[in-house]
Amino acid sequence: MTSRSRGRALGPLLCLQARSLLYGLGLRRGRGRARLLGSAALVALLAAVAIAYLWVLGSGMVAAGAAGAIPALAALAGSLAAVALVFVKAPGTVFGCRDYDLVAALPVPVRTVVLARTAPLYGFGVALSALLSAPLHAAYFSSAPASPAAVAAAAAVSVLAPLAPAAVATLVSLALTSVAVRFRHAGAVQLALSALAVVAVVAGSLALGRASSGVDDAAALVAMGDVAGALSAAVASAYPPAAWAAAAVREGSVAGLLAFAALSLALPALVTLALAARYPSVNAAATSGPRRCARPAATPRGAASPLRALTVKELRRVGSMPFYALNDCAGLILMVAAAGAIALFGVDALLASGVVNGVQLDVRTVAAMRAQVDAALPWVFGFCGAMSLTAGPSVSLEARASWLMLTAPVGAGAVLGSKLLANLVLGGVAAAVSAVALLAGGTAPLLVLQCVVAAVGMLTGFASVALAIDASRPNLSWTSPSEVVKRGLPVMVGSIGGVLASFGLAFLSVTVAGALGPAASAAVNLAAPAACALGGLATLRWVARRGLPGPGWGE
Amino acid sequence: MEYVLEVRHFRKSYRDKVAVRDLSLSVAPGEICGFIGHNGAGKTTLIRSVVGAQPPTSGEVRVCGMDVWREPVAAKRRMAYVPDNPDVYDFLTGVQYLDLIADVFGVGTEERRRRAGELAGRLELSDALGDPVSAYSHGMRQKLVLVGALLHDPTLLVLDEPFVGLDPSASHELKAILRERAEAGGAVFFSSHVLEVVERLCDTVAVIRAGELVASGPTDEVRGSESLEDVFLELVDEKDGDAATRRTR
Repeated sequence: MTSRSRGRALGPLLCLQARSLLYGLGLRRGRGRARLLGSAALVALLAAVAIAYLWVLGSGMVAAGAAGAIPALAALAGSLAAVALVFVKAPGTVFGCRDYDLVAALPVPVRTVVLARTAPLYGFGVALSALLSAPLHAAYFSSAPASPAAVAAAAAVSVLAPLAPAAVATLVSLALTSVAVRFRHAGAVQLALSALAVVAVVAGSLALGRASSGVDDAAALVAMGDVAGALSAAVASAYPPAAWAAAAVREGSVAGLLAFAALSLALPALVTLALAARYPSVNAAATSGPRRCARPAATPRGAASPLRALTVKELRRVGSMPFYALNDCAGLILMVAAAGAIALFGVDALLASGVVNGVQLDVRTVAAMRAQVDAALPWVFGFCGAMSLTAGPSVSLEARASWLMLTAPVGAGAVLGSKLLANLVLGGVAAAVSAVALLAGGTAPLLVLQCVVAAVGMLTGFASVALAIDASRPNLSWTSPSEVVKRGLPVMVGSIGGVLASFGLAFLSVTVAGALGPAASAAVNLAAPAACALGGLATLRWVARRGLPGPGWGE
Repeated sequence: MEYVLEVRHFRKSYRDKVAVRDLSLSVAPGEICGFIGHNGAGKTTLIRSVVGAQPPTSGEVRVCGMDVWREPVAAKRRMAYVPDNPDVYDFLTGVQYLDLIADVFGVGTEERRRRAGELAGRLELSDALGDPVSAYSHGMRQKLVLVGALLHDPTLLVLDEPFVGLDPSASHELKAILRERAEAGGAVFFSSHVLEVVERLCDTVAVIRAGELVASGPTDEVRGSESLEDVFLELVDEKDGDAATRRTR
């Protein structure tokens, strides 16, 4: 096959990937333009936030006298973003693809097929890298001479930076996926490790904040400069190409730029060729199921009620999908972490340290705000509860197995109730653990009760609303769980609504505490979540009375 | 006579497109009824409404005298469904799936153990019940769904293309199971493109063309002196339904 015909084959395959992306975003048969525009607006907003944040970070480093570390940091930022992208998207796109048999049977060279799968990843990686490194380089050139050669080198480094790490990440991701698909409890292990990582990050941030509290701004800047210098040195020794890129930008090193470019172009090419050479076995390794082992014949257990059986099924789904669990249980982990921090350090000490809100308050000021602090505290737990909505996408997650619930001899109320109940079991456990921690830390029982009611009430209310939306308009034809777990309307409406309501009610409670006293704010903190829960349950009940959703529902 | 399955003036449309129009048929106790038609004729549309997965636009579906859309829970308790694609929860093991189905249908501990063991043994699935469904092949999933469908001893068994993906021995066993169910007084309603199986296994057949029932009745009567394949090809090629109407019971 000539290179021209290979090129002709690459076009349609890339077009297929683009269509798959648009389908995933909800653009189907000309419909879904509003959703696509909404997604574009959200991406633009996130990009603006990222640019602003990195600009502030770069400017801070310049102010701290650590401008020299910026080029290496820019290369690292682009690389890490690409690596994260590859870990999320390569399984299912490059290997372990559902349509492998279809594309493998096409009269197209395997190399072209692999290139069509990897090129979009590299493309998105390049775009992410350019987006993240541009503000850092802009900050750098605000203090360093912006010669045309240096700017051109910075632009080249921004584009090239993600390629080599993305190529290596593809192989690592393949290795991890190949191991994970053979290990039956890989999901649970991944979930536990991820939860530990989240707790470690939160604990690390708190510890860092406490360590730096009480230090004046000048000393903080000096410390920040030292950290940046140490980070730059660590990056250069751990990942020498970042040092080559930094030398190309800082010192105009042509050799550094050429070495960086050669590595960045050679590694993806080598990985693509290697994957193409072994593509059938690569796919087989990434798609084979858990290893079947000889064990005594499994026998059914004792009978249980339909509601209990369905609830256990929902909990098993949460446990088997780390992506789902981490997205929809993150608030519960935060809730327990917050309760633990309060129990260990106390609310007053945390506020006085400036760790929580970035503003250092002296002990006397915190004591003067006692009533307001107690009024607001339950809404920290309400906030965490409202963003933990496993029930939100649970109807859509039935997907192609939805026929089971549609043909089961149970009412829609039992099916939807089991999904809410599973969410409440998880939330209830987190709330109970948090309550025990708060009580052990010396928090007043009435305040603990308010925290628990706020958490469970907000979770019940907004999980019910999200579930009702999902039951009314399920997306049963998703191609990736992230379409319903992260980008689905029910989760967005439930979580954003819950978070906004938590802030609003916290403001109301603090205002009432100031105007009418602590008893009135306690009443608000107990009544508002209960009302929220009842409202949500009424909405869910109304939807359940209409029956179960499915293809043809609402016609 | 009380039919196990009774469909009266069934009509299903998707916006402007009519998928099935004014279809009536019935299946008596002890009968195996084969439902045949070309791709897109409306077989799965009718089957999904029979099992309560999709409401009809108009008309009535009764199972054991109960309206599927007015008394859904009671009607569903008397039947079981095996879809054309046996998609079940990947995150469960085979035995966890069977437990879920047994719990939902209210099957007691002893009964579920006995029936699951017997059916899984007949379909050669016993050794795989402890494995996750994600490790199952298409045929194994099909067998698992079949075992699940039979756990609660349904009066009506509805199957959509049940022989697709089954190995020859499982296919043979399934035919025996269907015959046993009919002989025990139950009824079986299934769609298939394998006309030889329908011809040999079914007591009655119903032929659908472009959403309309063009023939139904005892297999021997519908077939006459020809093979079912010849009759089917003749029916689906006809421009008008006159000849077909003559064949309808």
